[in-house]
Amino acid sequence: MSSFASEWAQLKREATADAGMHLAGVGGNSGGSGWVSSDRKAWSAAGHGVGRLAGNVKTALTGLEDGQKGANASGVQSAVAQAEVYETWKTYLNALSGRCGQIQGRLEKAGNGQYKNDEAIKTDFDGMEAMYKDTPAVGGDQKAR
Amino acid sequence: MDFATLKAFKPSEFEEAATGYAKTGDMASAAKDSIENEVAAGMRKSLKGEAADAAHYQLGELAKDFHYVQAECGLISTALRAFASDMRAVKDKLDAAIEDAEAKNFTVGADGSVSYPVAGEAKGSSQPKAGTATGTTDVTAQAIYQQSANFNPNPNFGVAQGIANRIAAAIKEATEVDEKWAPKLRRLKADDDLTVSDNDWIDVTSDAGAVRDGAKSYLSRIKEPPKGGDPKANADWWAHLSSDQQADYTAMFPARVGAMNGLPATVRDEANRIVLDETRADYRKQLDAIPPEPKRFIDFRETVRTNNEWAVWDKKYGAKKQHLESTLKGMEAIQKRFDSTGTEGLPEAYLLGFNPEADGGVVLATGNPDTADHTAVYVPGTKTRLETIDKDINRGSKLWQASHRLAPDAKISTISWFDYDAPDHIFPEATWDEYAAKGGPTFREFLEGNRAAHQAATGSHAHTTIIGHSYGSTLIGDAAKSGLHKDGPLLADDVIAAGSPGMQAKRAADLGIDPNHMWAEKADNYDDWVVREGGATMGLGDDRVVPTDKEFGGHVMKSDAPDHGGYWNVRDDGEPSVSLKNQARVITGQYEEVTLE
Repeated sequence: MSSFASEWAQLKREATADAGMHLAGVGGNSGGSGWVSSDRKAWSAAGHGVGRLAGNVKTALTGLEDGQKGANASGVQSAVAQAEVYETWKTYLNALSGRCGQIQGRLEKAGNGQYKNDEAIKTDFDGMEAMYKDTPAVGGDQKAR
Repeated sequence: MDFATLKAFKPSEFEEAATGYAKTGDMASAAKDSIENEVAAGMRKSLKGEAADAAHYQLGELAKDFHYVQAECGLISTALRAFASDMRAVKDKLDAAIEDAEAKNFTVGADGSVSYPVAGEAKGSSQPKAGTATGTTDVTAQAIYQQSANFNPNPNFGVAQGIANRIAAAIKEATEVDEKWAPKLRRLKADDDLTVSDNDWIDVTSDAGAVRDGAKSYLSRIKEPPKGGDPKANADWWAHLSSDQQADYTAMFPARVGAMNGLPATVRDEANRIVLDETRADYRKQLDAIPPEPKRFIDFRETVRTNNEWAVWDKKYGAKKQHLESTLKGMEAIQKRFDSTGTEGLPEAYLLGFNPEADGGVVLATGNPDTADHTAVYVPGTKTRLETIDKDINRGSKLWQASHRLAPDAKISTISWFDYDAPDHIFPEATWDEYAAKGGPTFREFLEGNRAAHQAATGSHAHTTIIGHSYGSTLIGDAAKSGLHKDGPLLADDVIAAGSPGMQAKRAADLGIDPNHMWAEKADNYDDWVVREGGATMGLGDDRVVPTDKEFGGHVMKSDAPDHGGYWNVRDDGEPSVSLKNQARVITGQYEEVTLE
């Protein structure tokens, strides 16, 4: 946490130093090619933050796996059940890590000024909507059985 | 489960598995907090517009995933610990039986039967023999074995049979424990998609119920919270639980933990956020299930009458729909505050109280109240309800920003406290003391809890200001009086009354409040005057004295409030109004800067 906070503080200091480049109006992030460096830094910092979270998910996955050693006693129904439960969480956390990566990628791209304009950023983020649809028929209560 | 399996069973392996889930849940909780308080908040400091909004939306969906992981992993780790604990109790019984067998040089077989050597003397023509006792849990069979033991010349038979029966009983109990937990564990499988829907939170809620049912004996081993709800005792109780026990208690009883005065703000916040998401999902589902409201009035032959269909619908669903909708609006306001962290410097939010029942309650802090240098608690007045709690949450934010401007290096926490049944109208309800009288002790306990939590976190307490608006100040008066006879003065260094109709006393000193630290504001406006005069007339002040009267003994601060609600206005250029600034000066202890009437 503290390394993120200190990096953020550094970015803020640099942003203040860049104050002369600010466009009129708040944020100056209103389309066009007028990229304000403090805005790009804000996008980058956000990307960095999400990247950290992706790493934390992976670490948790390793910890989960470590905890599984031995909990597979044969002849114990609850052990069989737990093993099944574990597999689903392994899948979920891997997918979650992937989602972090998707968001991180877009944030970093914005931070590197690689989008044509704000509209392009919006479109790319909104495009994620189709990636993670709800599946009520299979999820929900049915998963209990 | 059979003998060999139970013999080989190691409860600690399941406790290790539980730890893996607990750590995952902790990671998820921290991740959700990081998104709200660092990633999104950092973006809000400088990024605005549709691109940022689109990014915020995706971050919000990600945060929901993490919250879901936090909740479910908490349940899984509690379930596994409870399973391991139940099994350990049975395993201990098995191990004791095996030990007893070995002490007598009996041999326990692979199937749990107990073989015994020859011993004893002949009884009549019957010679003692070696043998093998097969355990049973059947009471009739046990009685028969018992009887035959009396005739058996070998005393080892009876003893071996007893041990074999204990082994059989342990296997049976272990099987029951296993059969109880396996389906409960299966419920805790992860969702197969990354969209956290209302159904998912509804599942979490019912999963928690299933785990709670199975874990009764395990949970009974956790020391109960102290009866009577004394905040300092609650703080001590919590501090003495192990971190596993704290996690178990929070997972199993989030509403209790969220409402418990004296517990750390972060703990209450996490618990209440679980309750918030569970309630939101439940209420939305309930609302969806209500059939559409029929037309209320029917025109018939130039008359208008009430549609009977509507009357039937209203009787069945009217009040329920109203409650669901207004609570959902309140929850939206809370979420809006969470989503505002980082905007205009607003620090992280802590949901210290959330009660969806009846008129509802919300206690929301901006900035951590357990580590603050200056804390302000704002108590709203008449007509406050969950449906419109947005304005009261905003006032807390404005108090924070105004105070931060005056003391940028200080740690400040402002709390909006709405945990009482506020009167619905100025006349007649707000002229009665009963609402304040009921809410007073609740408020006292909250302040005591705030102090105990701060003490536990830092060894000291914050400079605390309480701000009562309108009837909220009457409540403060009652809170102060409820303390005078018991535990001493109100736990506040400064008291501000804005637009007060009376504080149930003639003088600040009568409430145990140092008059030098009593502050009042009024608005030069008819509505505000009505409140003050009305209160004075109806006896909310004592002997017709209200805090803005010289007689009361406090300081009357300059105020530019345009109306009864206008004490927290901010100018278009961001500069706080005089009313707000004076409150901020008191909050930050800058008394010499306060401008007085």
